[in-house]
Amino acid sequence: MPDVMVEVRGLAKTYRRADGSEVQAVRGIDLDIYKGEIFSMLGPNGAGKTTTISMISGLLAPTAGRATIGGFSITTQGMQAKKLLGVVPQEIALYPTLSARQNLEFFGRMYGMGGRELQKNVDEVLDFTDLKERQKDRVETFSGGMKRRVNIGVGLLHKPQLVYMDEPTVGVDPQSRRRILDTVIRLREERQMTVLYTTHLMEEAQELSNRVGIVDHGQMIALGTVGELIQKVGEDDRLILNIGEQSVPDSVRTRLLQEVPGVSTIEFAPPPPTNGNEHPANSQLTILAQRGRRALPVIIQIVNEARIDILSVEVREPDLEAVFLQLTGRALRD
Amino acid sequence: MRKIWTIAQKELYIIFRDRNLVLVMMAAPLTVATLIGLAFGGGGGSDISIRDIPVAIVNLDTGANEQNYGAVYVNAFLPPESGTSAPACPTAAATTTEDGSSATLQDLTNAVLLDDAAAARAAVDAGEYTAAIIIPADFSARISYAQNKPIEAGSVEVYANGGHAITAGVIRSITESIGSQIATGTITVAATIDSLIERARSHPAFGLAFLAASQNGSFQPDFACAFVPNLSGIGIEQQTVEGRSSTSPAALLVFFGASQAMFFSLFMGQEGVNSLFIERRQGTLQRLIVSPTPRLYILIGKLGGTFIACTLQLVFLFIALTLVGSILNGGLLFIWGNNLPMIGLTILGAALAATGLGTLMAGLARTPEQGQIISQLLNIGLAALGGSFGFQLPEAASRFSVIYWGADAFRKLAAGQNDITLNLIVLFAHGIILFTVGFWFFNRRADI
Repeated sequence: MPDVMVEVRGLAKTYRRADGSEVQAVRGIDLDIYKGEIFSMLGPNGAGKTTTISMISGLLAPTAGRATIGGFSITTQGMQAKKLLGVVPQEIALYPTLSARQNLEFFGRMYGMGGRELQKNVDEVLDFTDLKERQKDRVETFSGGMKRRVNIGVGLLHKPQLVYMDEPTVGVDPQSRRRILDTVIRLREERQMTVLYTTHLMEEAQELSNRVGIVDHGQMIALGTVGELIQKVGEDDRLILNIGEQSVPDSVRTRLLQEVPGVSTIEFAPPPPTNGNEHPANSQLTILAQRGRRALPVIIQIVNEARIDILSVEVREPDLEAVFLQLTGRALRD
Repeated sequence: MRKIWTIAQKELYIIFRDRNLVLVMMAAPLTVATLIGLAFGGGGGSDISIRDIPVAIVNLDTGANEQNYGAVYVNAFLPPESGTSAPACPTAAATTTEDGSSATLQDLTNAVLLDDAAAARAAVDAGEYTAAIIIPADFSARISYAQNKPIEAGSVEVYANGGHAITAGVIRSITESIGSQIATGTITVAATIDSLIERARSHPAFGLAFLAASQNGSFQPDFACAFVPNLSGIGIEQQTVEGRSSTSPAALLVFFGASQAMFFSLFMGQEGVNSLFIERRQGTLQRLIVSPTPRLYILIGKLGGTFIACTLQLVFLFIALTLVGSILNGGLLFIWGNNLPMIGLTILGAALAATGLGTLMAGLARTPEQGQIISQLLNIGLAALGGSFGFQLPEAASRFSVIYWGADAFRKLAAGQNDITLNLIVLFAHGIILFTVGFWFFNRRADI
């Protein structure tokens, strides 16, 4: 059993509206985040993800339940717990008229650092984020990517055991995004830090995370590794065959269902109508099957025997996006 | 404590790095006060004529050696028939003013003789008189000459209304001039008598003749006229007094500088506290809250920075106005007087009041924009009440404005009065109460 870095039990938050009615933003979440892992928390807007993390980081007081960081309660031992936590907010939370170094020094002092220790850590962070050459420039003169790096640097300055990163790649160019993702991986690999990561980009969560938690309607509806989640929802591979303007006879559908192991569903989408001038779109035959790649040769053989020309084949394996869609009934970006 | 100071330092750095803000908060009040001083203080050609300054005189002096030096003040301000024991001295011509017009002290003031010092002070407080000149009972006894009794220091109280800084300054100058004249006269009499006695001792023949003359009544010196101001070469120089009071830009700098400083300190207070909203919007406040720094430290640090900024602003204005005033005056002129400890206390009280008001506005407003609009309207209203726009509302109305209490304290100090206890109480109480209420509102609204 790995060591627990963050322990959350029955965490709840209720807001009171102006009319006196109550809104339950978070409804009793239980969660363990283990030391040295990257844990991604996913959820659509308004799911209660930000409220949950705000309570874990001490920004909001919970209505019920408890959260500990490194064994320290965030409500009763807040100062000790906060020393272990570094926060990288989604917005650029920096003083624009101060230089990168001044920002780092200021926030470092807020974590109780001073003197040589502070200067050493600031230099290390400037190296780590590759900002040494621009350290004396005002943050307001930086590009978006550079601001992001300073923003991350502030969260890492005091060498926390747990780093919370809230959508750190929002609004950055692909190059900067890659750099940030590499930084997150380095935090785990080189510094053995625990990372609590939120994102709405499934591929990021899939690439980075040891485990993923999906929050919706204030509850943790799924928790586990990406593989575990996919298995849990039982999503099949999706085989998409483009067959031009041809149609698929019922006999072919029956054979596919009866003769190919693991096939569960067959969908045929005829080409959409055109206004005459446009080039006609392809018909699509979509087959849902377990272990789709293994079933593919048999499927192609049956279709060919029916004299249907296959223009192209696409195999879509189930991913986090599909899991999320199935669990919440909506896409993450909605 | 180190974290509080770090936050306050950062606040100050950000405030004073903003050139536009510094320009508005420092240069604007200085420029406005200087321009008004020059425009209405003679440099611009205008002339504010000061006449019939209402003054109360309370002569409690019981006299000594058949002399009542307190009567010198009474006779200087009141026509002879109203005064007491006016000496029969040769008349003197009225002094000529700078612009060539003739003016006497009776023209300049409208003096009334009262018996009760407390009643006179109350009448000054009520605005009935600009100032009350109160001569104590032992005034003559202290300053009169007698053999084997040294001349002691005597003092006359000038109780002035801070709302009339210029005219109160005039009265104070006149009183000082009369005091100088009396001191000169006393020394002259003492020197004359000592000289006669010494000569009588060294020249027996002169001594015998002097004794005989004294006994037969042929030697009857009347020194009373030595104390009449307009007989003396160093008497009351009305020209100087009126010139300084009516046309001196420096005097107007005192008046407008004090109210402009208070007015702009309110904006500084608001600006500083408004940064709480800005920090919340840019996320740095949340970042501070998730650091191991108690929330109270964060707020105290931020508001402490604002308080220090207001204090520095007022100190800067004191120094800058003093420099400008000295240039206009042709000599060193401490714009709010030279009682530096009291000036310092007033500045601290004013800065606290400005920070308190800013905190209240921040607590009541939902957004920085809303806070700015509300506070600008409030500040302008307070400025109108407090006399920052060049017109003075009735004192009863002005008292509702913190600007009045601060500016009044500065003007009183400028006039040499140190009785600003009530002003300080109001300023500090205002700051503490508004800070507490505003803090409560803000804490509630900000959920921090």
